Amino acid sequence: MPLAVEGLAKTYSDGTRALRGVDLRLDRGLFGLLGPNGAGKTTLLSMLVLAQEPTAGRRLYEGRDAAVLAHRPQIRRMIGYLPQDFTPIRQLTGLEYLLHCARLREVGLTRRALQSRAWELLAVVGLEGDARRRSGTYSGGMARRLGLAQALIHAPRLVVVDEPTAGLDPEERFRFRNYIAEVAAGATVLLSTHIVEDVEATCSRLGVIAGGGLLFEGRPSELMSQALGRLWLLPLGAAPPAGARRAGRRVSSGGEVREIVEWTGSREGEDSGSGDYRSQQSQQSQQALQALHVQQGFAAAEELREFSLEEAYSAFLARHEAPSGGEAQACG
Amino acid sequence: MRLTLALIVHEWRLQWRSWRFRLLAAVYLLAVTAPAAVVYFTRDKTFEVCGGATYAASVLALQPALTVCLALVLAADAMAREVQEGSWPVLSLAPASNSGLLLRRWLAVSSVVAPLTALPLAAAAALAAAAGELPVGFGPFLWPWVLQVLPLALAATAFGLGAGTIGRSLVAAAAATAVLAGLADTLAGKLLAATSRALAGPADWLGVAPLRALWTDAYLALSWQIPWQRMLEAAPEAPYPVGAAVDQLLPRCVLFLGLAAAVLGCAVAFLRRSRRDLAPWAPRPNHPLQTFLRLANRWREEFSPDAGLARLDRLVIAAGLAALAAAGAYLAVRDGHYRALGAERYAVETVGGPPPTPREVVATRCRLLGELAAGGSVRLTVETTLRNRGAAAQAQLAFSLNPGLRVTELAADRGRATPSRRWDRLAVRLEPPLPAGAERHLRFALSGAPRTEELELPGAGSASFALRWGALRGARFAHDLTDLSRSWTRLAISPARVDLAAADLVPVPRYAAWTLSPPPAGPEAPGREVPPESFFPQTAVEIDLRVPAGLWLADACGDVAGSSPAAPRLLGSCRLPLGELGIYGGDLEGQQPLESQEPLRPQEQQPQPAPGATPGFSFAVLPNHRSRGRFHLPSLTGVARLAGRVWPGIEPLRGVAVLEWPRPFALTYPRRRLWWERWSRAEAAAGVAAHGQVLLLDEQLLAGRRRLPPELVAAATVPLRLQSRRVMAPADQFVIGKIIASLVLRRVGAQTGSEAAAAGGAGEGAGGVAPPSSSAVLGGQSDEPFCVAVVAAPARGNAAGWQRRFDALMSDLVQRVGLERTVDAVEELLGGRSAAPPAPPRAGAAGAAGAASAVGASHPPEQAGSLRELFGLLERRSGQPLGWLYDDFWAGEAVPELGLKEVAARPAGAGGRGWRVTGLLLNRGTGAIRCPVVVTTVGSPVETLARTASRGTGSFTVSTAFRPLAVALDPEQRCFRYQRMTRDLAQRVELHAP
Repeated sequence: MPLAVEGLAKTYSDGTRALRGVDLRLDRGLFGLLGPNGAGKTTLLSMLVLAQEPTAGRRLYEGRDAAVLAHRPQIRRMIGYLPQDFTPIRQLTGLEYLLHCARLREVGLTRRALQSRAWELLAVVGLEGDARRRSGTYSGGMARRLGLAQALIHAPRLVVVDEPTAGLDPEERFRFRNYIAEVAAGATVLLSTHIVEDVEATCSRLGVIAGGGLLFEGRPSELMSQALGRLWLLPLGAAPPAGARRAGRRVSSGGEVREIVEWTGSREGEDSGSGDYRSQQSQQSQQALQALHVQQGFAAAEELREFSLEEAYSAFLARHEAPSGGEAQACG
Repeated sequence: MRLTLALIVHEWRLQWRSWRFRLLAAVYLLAVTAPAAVVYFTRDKTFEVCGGATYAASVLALQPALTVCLALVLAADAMAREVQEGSWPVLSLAPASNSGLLLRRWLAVSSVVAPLTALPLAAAAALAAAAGELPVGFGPFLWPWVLQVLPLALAATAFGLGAGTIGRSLVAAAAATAVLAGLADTLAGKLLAATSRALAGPADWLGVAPLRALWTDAYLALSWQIPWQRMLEAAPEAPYPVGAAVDQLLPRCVLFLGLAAAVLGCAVAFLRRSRRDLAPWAPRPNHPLQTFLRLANRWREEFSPDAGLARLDRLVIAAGLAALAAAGAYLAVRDGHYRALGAERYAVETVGGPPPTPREVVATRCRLLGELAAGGSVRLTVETTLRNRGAAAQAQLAFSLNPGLRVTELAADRGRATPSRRWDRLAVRLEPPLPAGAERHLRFALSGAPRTEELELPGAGSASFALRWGALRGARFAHDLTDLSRSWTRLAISPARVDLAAADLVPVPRYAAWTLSPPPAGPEAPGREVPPESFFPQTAVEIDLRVPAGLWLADACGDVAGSSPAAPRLLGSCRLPLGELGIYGGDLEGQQPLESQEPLRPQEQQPQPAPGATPGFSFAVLPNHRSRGRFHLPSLTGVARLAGRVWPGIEPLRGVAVLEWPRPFALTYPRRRLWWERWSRAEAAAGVAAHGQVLLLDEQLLAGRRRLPPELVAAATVPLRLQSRRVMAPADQFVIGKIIASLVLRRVGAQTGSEAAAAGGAGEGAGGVAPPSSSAVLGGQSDEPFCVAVVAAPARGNAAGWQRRFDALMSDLVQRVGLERTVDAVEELLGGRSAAPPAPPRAGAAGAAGAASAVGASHPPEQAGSLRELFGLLERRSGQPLGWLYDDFWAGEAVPELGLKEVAARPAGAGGRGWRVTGLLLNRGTGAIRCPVVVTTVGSPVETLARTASRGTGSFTVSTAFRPLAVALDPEQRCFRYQRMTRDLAQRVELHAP
């Protein structure tokens, strides 16, 4: 197992509990980490790249415990990291920066081989034409692509990327997903983002972190199945039914805006289980819809059967974050 | 190594592309090199010929301070930049340990800073070579860079990198630097004061002191409009004394080095900023200090050390802290060492003793054998023959001996000789005692390194040791203490200078009591100083020493060694007072009198004379001053002819070894003397010293751009030769030398018509010789009281005032006594000529003549001469009383302060023609004086001389045919008197017709 985290907890010196015992096991491939702001994503990532010490828990990298000081150089050697606010050294060209990073990480290649690898990576991230320009003149997208290249220059076995597509235009985001997917073929990639679309497009597994805890870990379809039968479209401005939580809005092709609410009807609190969720939940949903119409008087209420991962994620968050019995919380 | 090289290349690339670096480097190079450029472009206008050492010294005036600034900024910025620009989180994933990464970064930044610091010195060397005035060696450029600039750059880089790593920003690093410097320099000093110790701090090593001096000079130059090049003094061209420099540099730099190591070491714990887990510390919401506590908590988190430090990191941190502790320990040990030495010397001086050698026991013969080593050590055998000329047997002898020399063996040809030693005092007990009229041979085996401890004590360096040490002991406040660890040891033998006095070579019999002179007023005053020797019997001295190859040495007999590198021996013999013995020299180069244009005489046109057979004089200069030596040689060779003409019988350079004498090295950041010292030096050929047959010429004289006028050298050397006939009392030695020099110049002037020489002064710019005083040769009639001079405040210690005062007094003396009679009196004082018949006594002078005869030629030859004795001889020859002159103005410091009083004018009698002006001359100061009073009238002015006693009044009367308009006192300011700026005494009175 490339990375295993057990009971990772962090309480800051001011008493803030950022993580409350996270267990996570990552295998080869791309793992998406979703979570709202302040959920603990950055805290978790900084602990995974050894920039911060946990209050409790273990971090195992291919079986090496990060608590053992002697392991740390090897652990650092196996990590590639693209931080959220990555900035290259602006006096260096893209190529020089890559080579500098490679030497810092003690890449055991000859000078020529290292040059070759740097050019290869620059080509992968589409910067070969700008490799001899000072990185201080790069656009935000180019800088992030260079950041990805530096994270990969030493062929790490664990790549941690934090909000890699923030600020990128759609085309660059698309290209970036492709790079990440390629990298994930040979390494463990932990992609932390709040853009669900990126995760949906690339990750075979994902985790949802909120309030310092890892609330979900599994395949995207599993997160989707949790939302089936719980999402309803209500007219905009209509008071939600008791126990419902706002989970976003949807605009129809005709321009009509309706509110998505997560509501379990009479079976509030039950899980939908797994498997062929559509067939399993269909009957129950019908009953709930009827109950909604009859009991709450929402004649226009409609069950949301076709939804995205983002809507499922929002509903998931709404369900886990809203204070029990309190007022519904809008998401999205 | 690959990582180290990669980081070095990275740092070079990064800095080279940084505009900030380019700007900083350009400013640094221009500012540091600028003084050398100024020297180069103004070299034709300087007093002295400037060699490489001067160019190097000019660079070093600014370089230390600016190097510190440059290194601190670059190093602090190197780390803070990556953190602030956001690239650090990625770079910190390097697998290297914190210490490995940080130390490599230090090397990388140093690799940029260090070569940069070498450039100004290289540029200065190039300028010096381009100027081509003197040969340029590597020493003056290389050693200061290696010993001072480079360590400074490395330490400042370490400090800056450490502070930048801990503080994470340039501002924070600067703040940390200020705090640490303040702590080290102030708080630690204050705390140490409780233990009567002081910590001077590294400010002068960091270049603050020379910067301050430069600022002062610049201010003076600008505000007084003095051309800069006239303030420049050529730096020593002697070989750089590496050992002495290290000895002085270490206590200055070690604290900063330790501090830099500690800061860099501690920074290892803060490199990655991998925040450790801290126990929550949340103040309660309603806590009155909630805001502050939160801030403190944030700082606690921000500045907590990295988590997970490797063992190597811990070792490096420990090493850094250990370096700081070692620096402190080194300073403490050094302080303790010199404190113990000082305390021992103080105890010896204050307790006094042992009893001096009785004057009946004299050393008739002294044979010095052994070896001098280049490293400063000596191994000597001294065979002394002591003779008891008294009537009683003597058992107790006392000798002076350098504390650095150990007496490893003492043997007597008869009986036993038991030594006992305290500091520089060696007591020897003879058993059996030395009978009357008998001789005893003592054989001393000595070894060690003759040395002088230069203790860092409070007060002026001219004050006695006992006084200064007493001030240190009695210090009550921190600012009265000095850092004794700054003290250093000056070895008598170094490549730059060999300065072996008699007590550095042989045990010198001590005849004066070792008791401090009477203490000045005040209960805490520990006494003044150990009195100098007062008895100087002649001793036949033989010298046979092996000396280090490559050194040119001369002994006090005038013998030289060094002309034959294959057999470096110093062989010599002569008779002289043993206290005058000495060996002097250094890395010098002998010059042939053959090259001179004005050779003395044929027998002196020989090649370098063989040791022990010196018909002429030997002359040696520093190798870099080879051309200067050739330039000045005609002056030296012309001296003999001139001196023989003006003072028959004197051959000032015959058998004399003349050598260029480098200034003693002291790490005061080579810098010229204060410019006013140059213009106001009291000595008439400053920088000429003599020890027996050795004449030491200050290197500044040799560096002088103008050729030394022979009369000035004669004026300097004749007194030295004459005084070798008889030793003068140390307190009067200088003034008597001045008198003889003045007489020489007056005789030259009388023979050549030179007014300046006749005035007894000398021209400005003649190799540091004092300028002529404007006192000129005014003088009243010879039977009138003192009436010469210049208006000045003749404060003690004010060389300019002293010089003017001396010129005035000397002119007056010569006017009264006559030039030739004065010369005769001097001759008689020195015992070189039989007493001339006294002049017929004038009225009222009979008593004085009688008194003078008591101190006439009947002085014992081994008794030191004195100024009072000279005045007695002058009284006898001039036939007039001069005691008052001596008491008031020569021994005393009388300064008249004059004004007019009760001035009135009235017609001269009833119906008579003309006017009569009367008044009083008031002397509020001291000393009898006669001063001109001028009455201006409608016709021509009328002058009279008014006379007044010390603190008294004298009347004057002037008769004139014209109506008087005003009365002025000394309008041309010819009287020696003090005029206050307030002019509260009337100097001019306007008269109104009655």
